[in-house]
Amino acid sequence: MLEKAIKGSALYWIWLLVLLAVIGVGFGAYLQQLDQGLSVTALDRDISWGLYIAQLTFLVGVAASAVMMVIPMYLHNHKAFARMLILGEFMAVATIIMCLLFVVVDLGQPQRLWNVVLYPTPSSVLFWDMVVLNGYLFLNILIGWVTLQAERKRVGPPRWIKPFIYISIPWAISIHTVTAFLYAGLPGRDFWLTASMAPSFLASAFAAGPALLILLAFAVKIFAIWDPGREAIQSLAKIVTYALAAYLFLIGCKIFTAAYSMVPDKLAHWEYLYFGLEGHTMLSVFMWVSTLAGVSALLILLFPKNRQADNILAFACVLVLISTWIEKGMGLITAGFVPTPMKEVLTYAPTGPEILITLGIYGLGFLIITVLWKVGIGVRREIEA
Amino acid sequence: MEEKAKLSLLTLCNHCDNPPCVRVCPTQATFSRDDGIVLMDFHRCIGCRFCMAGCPYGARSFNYHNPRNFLNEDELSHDFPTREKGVVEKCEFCAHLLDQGERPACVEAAEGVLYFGDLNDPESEVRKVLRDRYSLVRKPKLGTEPQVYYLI
Ligand code: SF4
Ligand code: SF4
Repeated sequence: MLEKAIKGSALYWIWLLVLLAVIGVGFGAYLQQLDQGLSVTALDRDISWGLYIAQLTFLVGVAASAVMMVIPMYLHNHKAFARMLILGEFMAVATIIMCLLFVVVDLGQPQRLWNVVLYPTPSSVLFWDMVVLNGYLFLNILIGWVTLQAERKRVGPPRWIKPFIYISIPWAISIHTVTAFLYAGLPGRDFWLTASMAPSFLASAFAAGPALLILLAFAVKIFAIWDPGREAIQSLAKIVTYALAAYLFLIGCKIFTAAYSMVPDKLAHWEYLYFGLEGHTMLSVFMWVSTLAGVSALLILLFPKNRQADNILAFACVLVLISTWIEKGMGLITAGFVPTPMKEVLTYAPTGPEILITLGIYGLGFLIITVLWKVGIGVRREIEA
Repeated sequence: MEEKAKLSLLTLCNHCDNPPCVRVCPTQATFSRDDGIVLMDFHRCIGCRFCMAGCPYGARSFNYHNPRNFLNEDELSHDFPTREKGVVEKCEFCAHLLDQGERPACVEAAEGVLYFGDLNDPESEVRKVLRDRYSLVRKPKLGTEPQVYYLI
């Protein structure tokens, strides 16, 4: 099936070349980081995770959200997703690969990564995160490939793949739960130390993932001239709406606990996040953008008429992505570290190399999505022709 | 209310008895030694910095730069290997000195202000001081069971 990836229009090849250029620049910046260490980043003793781990957190959610098509399709026989599911699964493959790369570029000693396997440590959530992320990658490659091959031969998927599909449902939930537990189990980090971490991670993931999928589906419609199906997109739009409401609700719950209890250790993080402390206000600008984008998107999406208009739906999906990307990325990470255990207030602004490396990994992710979707859509076209 | 002058305090690693940094490390590169000292294996650490997020006291730092760039050859002690970039650092209670029967360098330098010893030994110097004077530990509510006491 892979041969479908090497037959494409001029536009396809130009797009791949652009992505390759972005990847190349990012790789160059990574070589610099390898040489000079993480000193090329803006990280320091107090804010010791930043842009890379923020992307990991955000993208694990996007990957997990493939389950929002698997559940309706396989548990409720919602056939509208039949044409599009493969795109969701392939998107999950690409985003998990990005996640793993973001872990690697964040390491101070990446060549020792294998130590996690040599000295497995069940008490460490990071160990489990590696287990579930790799497992999820394997599941999605397997399921995506086997179901696509079956479709190509115009037969139903083999029976043995069914258990893997069912396992992939709780597995998707697990990757994001475990990622939330990276934060939610740390004593003394009051911003993260809350049981609502995993639920709010899942809520924002199920808003962001399908929103990205809708946008990519529109892109496919325009550039590949292949329509993933109106009903599928409309179902996804409903999922985005519900999940977005849950995501905003959970933020509200967290703010209530901090603001009403007035426990300084909890409140200070939220003050820093939304108003800034001691003149450090950069993050709060982003947070207001995030919150306003999220609330506006919800106000738009609540009305079925808006969801049914492609332009408005696309616009709302962009707002959802902006909102969740800021909130779950830089907002969540930086405000977790600030104020520091020594009650210091700091600002973290990623450096050029950090940004280039991040863009490089996104470039690779989009390259993988493009190639896999090309194959998936090619097969679909063949069947439908 | 009386204004409190800002005090300078040592905020070293507490060598917690229930250390979250050890719990979160995915490679056991940070570990509790049998005598309760929390140590680092600099050759195993992958530099993920999970332990820095896990320590509630800000007691860990990271070699963002190559530390060797900042060494002055003439002042080097050759009793101890130099460090490398990309790994986490922390107070080790000078474990290499303890192993030679000496006391940590800070205790040696601040004679009569810092005390060091075996908390499990009722006759040790630290236990005597703790019996006689009022003391605090940092953030006891977190259950990390710090082994560093601040004398008042
Ligand atoms: S103070 Fe921090 S680094 Fe030291 S043992 Fe406790 S948790 Fe670990
Ligand atoms: S940075 Fe090193 S010591 Fe700390 S958790 Fe990671 S591997 Fe363990």
